[in-house]
Amino acid sequence: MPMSSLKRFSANKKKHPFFNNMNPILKVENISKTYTGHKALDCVSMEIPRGSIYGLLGPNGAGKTTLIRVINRMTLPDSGNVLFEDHPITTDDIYSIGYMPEERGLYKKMKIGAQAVFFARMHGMSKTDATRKLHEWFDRLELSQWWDSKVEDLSKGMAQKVQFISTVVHEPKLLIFDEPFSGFDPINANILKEEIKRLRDNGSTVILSTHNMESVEEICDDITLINKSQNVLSGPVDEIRRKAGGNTFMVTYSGSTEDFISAVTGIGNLIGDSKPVIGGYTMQKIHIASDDDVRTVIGNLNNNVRLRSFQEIIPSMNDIFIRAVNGTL
Amino acid sequence: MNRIGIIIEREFTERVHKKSFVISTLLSPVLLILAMCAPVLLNSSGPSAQDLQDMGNDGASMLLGTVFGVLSYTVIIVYGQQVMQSVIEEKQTRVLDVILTSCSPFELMMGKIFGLALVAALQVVIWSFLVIAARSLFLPAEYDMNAGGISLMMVVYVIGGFLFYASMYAAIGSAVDTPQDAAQFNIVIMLPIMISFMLLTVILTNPDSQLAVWCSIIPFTSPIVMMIRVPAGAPVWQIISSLVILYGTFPVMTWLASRIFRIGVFMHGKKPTWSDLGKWITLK
Repeated sequence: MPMSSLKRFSANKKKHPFFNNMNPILKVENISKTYTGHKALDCVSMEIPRGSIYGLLGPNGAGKTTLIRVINRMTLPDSGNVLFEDHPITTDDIYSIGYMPEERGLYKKMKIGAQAVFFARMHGMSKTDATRKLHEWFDRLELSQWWDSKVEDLSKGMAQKVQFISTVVHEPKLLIFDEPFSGFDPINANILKEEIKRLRDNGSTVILSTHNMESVEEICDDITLINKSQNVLSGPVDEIRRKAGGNTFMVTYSGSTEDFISAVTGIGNLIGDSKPVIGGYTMQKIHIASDDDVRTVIGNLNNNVRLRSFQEIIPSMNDIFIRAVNGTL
Repeated sequence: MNRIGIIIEREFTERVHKKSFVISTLLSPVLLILAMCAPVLLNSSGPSAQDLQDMGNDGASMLLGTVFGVLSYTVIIVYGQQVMQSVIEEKQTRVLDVILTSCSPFELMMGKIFGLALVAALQVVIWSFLVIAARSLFLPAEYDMNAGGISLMMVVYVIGGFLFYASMYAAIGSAVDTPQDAAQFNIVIMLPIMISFMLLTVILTNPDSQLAVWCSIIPFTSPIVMMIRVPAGAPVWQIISSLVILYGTFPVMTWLASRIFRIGVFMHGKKPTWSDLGKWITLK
C-alpha cells in the first residue's frame, strides 16, 4: 500500500469512528425520475459511507429534494433502487430514519414539548423515555423554558431547534436534513453543526442538503454534487478539493523575475501574471504537474530568489461548486 | 396499531382541551333550542309550547326528531370538515412529511378519523345528558320516552355517519393544497347530507313513507333520516338493517378513501381533477 493512501485511510478512520467503507449504510443506484415534461433526476447514483456526514449539494432545482424524497419513499422513482444496509429500503427502515424537511413541519397550535413527545413516540419511544430525553435536549439547546409554549409564539430559530430535536431524539441510524442551516443565525448554525457532528460521533450517519458551502468544508466528510438532475461530482471533500486545485501553488518571493522563471522552467508553468505585494514581495501562481517535482522547484527557488512562502492552492467548496455547475472543473 | 393509538390520543387531547370544544358543547344545544323557539316567540300564531303539549306524543316526536336530525347533520358536517381541515393544515405546514416518515398514510388517516370520532362521541354523550335533563322542561309528562335508548341510538348513528363520511373528507383534504381547492369536491360529499336534511319536514310528517324507509336504510342518508324517525318509533328490523349497512359500508368507503389518501398526501402544487382521484384509486 503506498504511503499516501495509508495516510488517507487512517485520517478517515479518525474522522469516522465507525468507518467501514465495505458496507455503506445507503446506496442509491441509477435513480431516474421524470415529472410531466421535466427530468428531475437522471440516473443518479451515490453511496453513503456508514458513520459519515454526507453533503448533498446543488443549485436550486437541481433535484436534491426529489432525491431525498425518493430515499424516503415519498416519491417513487421511475427506475433505479435505494438500498438500505444492502437490502431494498422498506417502510420499516423509513420509520427508523430521522427526516427534517426543508419546509419545517410543526403543529402551530400545539405546545412544543407535547409535540416533540408526540413525534418521538411515533418513532417508537415510550412516553417516559421520550419525555426524559427531550428534557435533556431542551436543556442543552436552551429551550427548557419554552416547553409549554406554542410554535406560533416562538422565533423561527427556536422553532427550527424544536424541529431538529424532534428529528434526532429517537437516535436514528440515518438522519436526513434538507437545508438544515437555512433560517439560523451564525451562532445557532454553529450550535447545530456541533450537534450534527456529535450525532455522527455517536454513530449516526447524516445526509444533509445545503447551499452553505462553508458548512460543507467544516462538517461534511463526503459529498455529491447534483446539477441539472445529474450527479456531476462525488467523493470525499478533502480529495475533491485537492484534485480541483490541480497542482497549483502560490509562491511569494523577492528577487529578479528572470531568476524566478529559470527556477521553474522545464518543470512547471507560470499561471497568469505576477502581482506585487506589500513589503517588496511578488506573488506568482505556478503549476507543477508531478508531485515529485515540487521539491525540485522549491530547491531551485531557494537558490535563485528569497522565498517567502510556497503554498498549495486548495480551492474552497464554493469555487468548486461554481466551477462544477458551470462545467469548468 | 400502536401508532394509530398515539395519533388518536393526540387528536383527542388536543381538541378536547381547546376552549372552542367546551364552548360549542355547551352552547350549541342552547342555540338550537333558541332557534326552534324563535318562531314561537316571533309569531304568536305558530305552534307554542302549549300546542306541543296539546299535540301530545306526536308533537314531542316531531320536536325530538328535529333536534336529533339537526344534531346528527351538524356533527357529521362539522367533524367531517375538521378531518379535512386538519389534513390540509398538516399538508400546508409540512407536518405530513414529518409524520409520514414514522407511520403509513393509512395509519395516519385512521388515527385522525378515530380520534375525531371519539371527540364527537364525547360531545354527543354530553348533549344526550343535556337532552335527558331538559326533557321534563319541554316534553309532556305523559310522553313515553326511552331516554337511554334514544341517546344510545343518537351516539351510534352520529358516529356511524361520521365514520362513513370522514374518510372521504380525509381523502379530499389529502388531495388538495388549500381549503379553497377542496370546495369543488366538498360539494359532492355534502350533497347527500344536505338532501337528507332537506327531507326533514317530509319525513317528520310522514315517518313511515317509502321515501323515509329507503332513506333511512341507504348509508348516505341513514344517519340523519333515521334519527329523525327514531322518536316516532321506527321498526326494529329497519333500525338493525340500516345500522348493519352503515357500519358495513364504512370499511368500503375507508378503503376507497385510503387509496386516494396514500397518493394525495405526497402531491403538491397541482389541483387534482376527479379523474386524477379515480386514477389514484386504481393505481397499484
